[in-house]
Amino acid sequence: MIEERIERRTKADIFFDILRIVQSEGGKAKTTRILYGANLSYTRMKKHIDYLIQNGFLEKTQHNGSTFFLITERGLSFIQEFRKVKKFSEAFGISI
Amino acid sequence: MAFNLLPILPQTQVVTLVPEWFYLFSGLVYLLVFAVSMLVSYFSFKLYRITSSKKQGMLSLAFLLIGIGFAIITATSIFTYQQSQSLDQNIFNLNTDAYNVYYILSIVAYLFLVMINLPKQDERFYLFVPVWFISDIGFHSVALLLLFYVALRSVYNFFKVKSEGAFLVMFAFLMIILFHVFLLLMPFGIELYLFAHVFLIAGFLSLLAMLIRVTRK
Repeated sequence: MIEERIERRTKADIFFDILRIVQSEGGKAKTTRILYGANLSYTRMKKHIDYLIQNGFLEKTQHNGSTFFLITERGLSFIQEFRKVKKFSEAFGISI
Repeated sequence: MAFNLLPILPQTQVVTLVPEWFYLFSGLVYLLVFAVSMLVSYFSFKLYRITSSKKQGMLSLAFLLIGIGFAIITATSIFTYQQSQSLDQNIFNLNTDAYNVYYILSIVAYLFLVMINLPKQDERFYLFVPVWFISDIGFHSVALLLLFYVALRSVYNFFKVKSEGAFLVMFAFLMIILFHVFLLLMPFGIELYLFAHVFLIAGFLSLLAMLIRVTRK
């Protein structure tokens, strides 16, 4: 019998969600927007954002006392590549 | 128009004689299959590097093995065609060895495809592949058994996601099943050999179409 399971989001899924939120905000988003959009706890979100900054997908900036995150070229390219990953994996029925 | 008749797939108990141009025809078909397999393997390896997903890695490996297998029989098919006038037994022995390697690589690749499609709780999966698959009938029977499960999952996946990509993959696996079925039935008529290769072309062109759709911006 073929059963369906609820899949947990992978790290790559979460990175994609965070970057997509920043992109949809015009390439610049506040912490709270990412927090609600990506449906993550503050601790987990911070951990993932730190990773994205360290690897050049996001940049941190301050404006009028607020912290913003900017998406980089590398981040935009990740979104594009990850969309292909999703389409390809979906075609083969592979969960990533 | 007269053709020389050569034995095809010499492992078969019943030796079937085919026109020599079958070797050139199948060599060209296998070349196409090799190219598409390598593209699928390369693309899934690229995705494996992004996601670190074990299943993407296995998919890449499966198509790599399929590609290598077909590369080997492409070379020997074309070589046999070129040397067919000599009717040297060593050429046919070489062809037999090449097919044996292709059989082993294909079965391992199909096993990987089965493993990719297993539900998570059954990932500890062991299958003893009997050594008797090193013959035409044995190979095609084991291949059909494994591919039937893979195709069933791809049908299920298509009805679940209803995407064009999933349809193309489902179509490809169904065509590859027909390729094996027709080769299994080949002793009943050599025209089945041609039909089998038409199904193989259709299957791998379908995978190519899926790849083009996915990689398109």
